[in-house]
Amino acid sequence: MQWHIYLLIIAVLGVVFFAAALIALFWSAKRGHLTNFELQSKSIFDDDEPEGEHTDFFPGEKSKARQKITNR
Amino acid sequence: MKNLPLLFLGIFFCIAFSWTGLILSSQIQFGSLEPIAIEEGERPHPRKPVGLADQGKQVYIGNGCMYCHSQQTRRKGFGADFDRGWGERQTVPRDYILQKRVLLGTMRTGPDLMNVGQRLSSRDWHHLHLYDPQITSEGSVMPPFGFLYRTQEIGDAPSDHALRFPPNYEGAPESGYEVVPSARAEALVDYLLSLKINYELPESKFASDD
Amino acid sequence: MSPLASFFGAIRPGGDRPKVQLTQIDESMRSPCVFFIMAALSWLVAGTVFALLASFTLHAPDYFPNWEWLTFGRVRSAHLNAVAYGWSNNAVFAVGLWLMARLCRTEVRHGGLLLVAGLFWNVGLFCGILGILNGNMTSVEWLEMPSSVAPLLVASYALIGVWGILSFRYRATDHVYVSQWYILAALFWFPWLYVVAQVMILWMPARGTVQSITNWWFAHNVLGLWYTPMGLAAAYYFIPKVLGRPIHSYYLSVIGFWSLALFYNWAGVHHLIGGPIPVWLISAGIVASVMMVIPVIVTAVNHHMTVVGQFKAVWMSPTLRFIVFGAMSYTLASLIGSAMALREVNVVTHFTHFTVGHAHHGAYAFFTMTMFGSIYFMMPRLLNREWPSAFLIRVHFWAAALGITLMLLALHVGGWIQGLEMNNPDIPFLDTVKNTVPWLISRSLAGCLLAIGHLAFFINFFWMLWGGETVEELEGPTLFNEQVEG
Repeated sequence: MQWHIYLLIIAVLGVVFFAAALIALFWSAKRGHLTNFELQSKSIFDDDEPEGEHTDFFPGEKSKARQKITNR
Repeated sequence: MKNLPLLFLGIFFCIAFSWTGLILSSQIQFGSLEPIAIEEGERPHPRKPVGLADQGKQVYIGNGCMYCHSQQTRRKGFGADFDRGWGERQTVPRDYILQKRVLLGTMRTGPDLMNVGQRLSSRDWHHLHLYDPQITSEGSVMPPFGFLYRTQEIGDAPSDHALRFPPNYEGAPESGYEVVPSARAEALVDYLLSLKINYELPESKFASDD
Repeated sequence: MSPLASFFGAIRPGGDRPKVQLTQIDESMRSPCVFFIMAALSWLVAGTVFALLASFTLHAPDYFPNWEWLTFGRVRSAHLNAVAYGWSNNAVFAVGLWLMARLCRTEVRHGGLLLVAGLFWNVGLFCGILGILNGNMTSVEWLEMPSSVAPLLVASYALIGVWGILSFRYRATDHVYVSQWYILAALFWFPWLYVVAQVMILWMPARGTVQSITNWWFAHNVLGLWYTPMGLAAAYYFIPKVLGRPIHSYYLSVIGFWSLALFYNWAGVHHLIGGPIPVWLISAGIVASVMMVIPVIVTAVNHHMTVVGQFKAVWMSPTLRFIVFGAMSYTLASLIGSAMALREVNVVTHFTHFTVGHAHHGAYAFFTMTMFGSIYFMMPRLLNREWPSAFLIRVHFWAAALGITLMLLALHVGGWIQGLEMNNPDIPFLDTVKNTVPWLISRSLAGCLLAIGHLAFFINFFWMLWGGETVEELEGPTLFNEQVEG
């Protein structure tokens, strides 16, 4: 008899959890969190470190590297 | 995914879910197991570890023995645990309920020790092995535990506890000296000898001979 | 409005807080970050020394003096705690908090808090490791330090965690970047894991193997819910940042994040397959471990598509050499890990050096290499100086990459053979041990290579701190502009 009860509790909790997750998903979709992904992915760039600029090289080797990268 | 409270709720849910499912459920399922007698009138098993053996466990813990030796016997057919004499039955949760620190271990650089008290029941063997594993097990990678032993001058008569080295052992003490175990070594060997799966449980019985 | 309500209510940041220049942020993070990296590197060196001692003693047990403090069980545990809570955690604090500051775009407040916390953390750790060597270890995996240091570690962590969350709360950006989710999640998960494990195993021990289940829920989740998210946060930031290209599919990142959060939590039980715990738990752990393939592949695809066509640029960047190595290792290590959870594979690999190899695959080839790359990017911006030596960077990269590859090969192959032999009762156990020795020797050699790499890194770092050429301050990410080189 014991494990039946526990299984029921676990099943109910599982359903509750799943439902909560679904609700959260729809809530965020409605609130506009899940749109505009491209903009969010570009948020790491700005005027100082613009998109399209390579920003890391071996010390002293920037121009050499730049050359190698652009000459495919 | 910008909402801090919602993010936290989701993150919290994930960890609460696994804690409930793995740990709380285990506690409910077998956390209140008690020792049990296999037959009416028999002693309940497992038995509480006491005395010097329990002190020896502290030596085992403090020196990290667990990091090379496991203490669990897997079921017959899942690995060669039975064939290697590491136990005649699978160890189950009830075997560990009276242990204050459970030392299941996850490495078998050395053999499993759950049943070592039965498999290697000689005190002398264990002392020699701990003092210098090469004596009993040549080629072993186990580190020597000489610091658990003392080299002392022989008094009126050699001590009963002195280690009996094989003839021609290179590391033997010079004449007039003997090697005796410290209290820690004696406790450790007591602990090792106490590790025996010499009892059955309703959920785990000895394998019948094939 | 009560502070609690206003805390949760401020979900509409943005307009009213001024966005701060990146250089200002970098400068304000300088002291805490440099402190954490100094601590991290010191622990890396200490951890490497312990590792070499442990590795050598395992195949040459008689060549070492019989010193109690350096017996394998203790020195191996000192190694683990030094590289985990010493190197890795300090690196996480430096990199994770720096990323959080940058991504939140606000003036960094109360940096002094971080320094105090960092000090407490490292003092506690020092005492803990001394305790291990002294014979007071707990023999609980990943919690070997005597439990008396735990309160100090928890208190210092609380300061750090609070700081991270406050930065997020006061952020100036409207968008939350994927790295921030991972960092927030990790900052939140770690204290729960640590405190629950301390309480349920050491302070008020649970009964029997409930301890073991708690142990592996904790230890595996430290890897998957603390180190992995931090490593992924770094990869998700630096790969696009260095290449100048946004992440390929942000949508995939969302899926990757939540599937990791859900599945990783349950996978820890795979350390106990065949062990004295209920079989349904083991099966659940195996299922979760296999489901981990989802977030892993999602992340791999995302990273790969971001990098594709730009491999030359990756090679030209010290940061990305390390980070892309790390990201690829993450994929491989995780896939191998999922395979190891299957019973048919586990019966061979459990209890062998294969597991040790796998651990180093994740902790070193993925996590540590990613942290190396992150530090290479951060330091010039924090100090406004160049790394003094490109040669040392190259030495570091090659020594680390070759070293870890050699180590992984040795341990995986040797461990697999060991497992097969252990399962063959006709082979005496001592023979299985002797057959691992050549592989253990290879591991020691690999360790020497890693040590060389670490030394190169250490030298380059402290040279930069103490004698590196200062570069004129400019606005923006300055370091690699033509006019200020040299």
